[in-house]
Amino acid sequence: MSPVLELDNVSFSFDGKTDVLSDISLRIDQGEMVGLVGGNGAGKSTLLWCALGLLHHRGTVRLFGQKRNAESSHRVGVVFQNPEDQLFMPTLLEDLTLPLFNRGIAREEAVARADPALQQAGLASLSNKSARQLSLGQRKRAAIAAELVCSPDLLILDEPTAELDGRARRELAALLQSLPATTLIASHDLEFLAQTVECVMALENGKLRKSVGILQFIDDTELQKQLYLR
Amino acid sequence: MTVARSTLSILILCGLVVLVVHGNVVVLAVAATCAASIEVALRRTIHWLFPILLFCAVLAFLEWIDHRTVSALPLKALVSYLAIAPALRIMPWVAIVRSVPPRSRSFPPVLFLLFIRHFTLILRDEAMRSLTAYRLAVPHPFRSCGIRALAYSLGSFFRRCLLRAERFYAAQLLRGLAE
Repeated sequence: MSPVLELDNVSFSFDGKTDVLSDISLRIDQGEMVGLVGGNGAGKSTLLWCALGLLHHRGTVRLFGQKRNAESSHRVGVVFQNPEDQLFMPTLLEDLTLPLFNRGIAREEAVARADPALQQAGLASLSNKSARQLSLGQRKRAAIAAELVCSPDLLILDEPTAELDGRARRELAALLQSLPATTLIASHDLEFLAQTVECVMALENGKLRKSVGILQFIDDTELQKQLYLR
Repeated sequence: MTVARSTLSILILCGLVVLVVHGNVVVLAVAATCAASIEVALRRTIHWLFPILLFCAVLAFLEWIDHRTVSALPLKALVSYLAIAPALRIMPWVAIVRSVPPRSRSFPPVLFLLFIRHFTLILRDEAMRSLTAYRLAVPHPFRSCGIRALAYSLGSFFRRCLLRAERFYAAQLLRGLAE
């Protein structure tokens, strides 16, 4: 299995004194679906931001076996907690085609690539609506479709089920299960993770505490209590 | 219809630029009153005006604290909001985005206007959220605790707007739009 994301001794501090992340090393291989779990403030989102190069950190991050660069970053799709951070165009179709235009793809081809992504997300009939006219669950799926259109090799999702109801969570889980991409999901929604990932990495106070299979983690109620997940 | 809407919104935006650059206080005040009256008549509500009035009042207060005079800046901010909000609402965005070739020189200005529109909506959402929370939390707005709560509410409003702007920039950076 070739590595998709590797972190070597990644540490990060907001104020230069207290480490929010401390010596995190992990490796995610191609085709893996991994959950990043931890209570509020454990450092899940910060770790994702470091892995994506949005924060200046210590240590090394490698994407697809090489140091992070523009080319390797193009192979990563990121879905933020709030879909409104990503979707701002007047219609969903425009939101999906915009990154393709930016890569020099012509409008006809971009639209042809956006259609299957919208269908996969169950939003084909809403392609001419603005993201603001959709429900939160639909917006989350639209944000994923906006990343799928670029065929990412690694899909990273930050708290995808935040504020979603049961039906929207089920629809989102079904969508993620159908994706071929390597997936990293930061969440503390164990029920959702049980449906979508194979293993989890547990973060506690900025340190990687344990990496275990999802079923083993679900059974380990003591560990969940220690991580403030229960 | 599309051409008429585009022309009207561009005229409003051009008029705004002329007003902000050359208009004196009286002209700005008249323009603000007219624009506010039209908006109030169209929306049939007035509460949406409070956050921007509050913002302008705070701006004027800060200017007064700094050098004991108040410039036309708060009035310009008010006029800008009152002109930009309807101009962006009238603009036929879908038709414009679909008619402009993505690799052409016209595309970046259109994207820029869409960013402005998005931030206007973010500001509106956050202002309404802060105002609702403030009104629910403070039963007596004119007592000292009410004024202190208003200051905290404004602080959190600016912090949330900055946070959302930061997240939006990060998301667009990762989507390759900043390249």
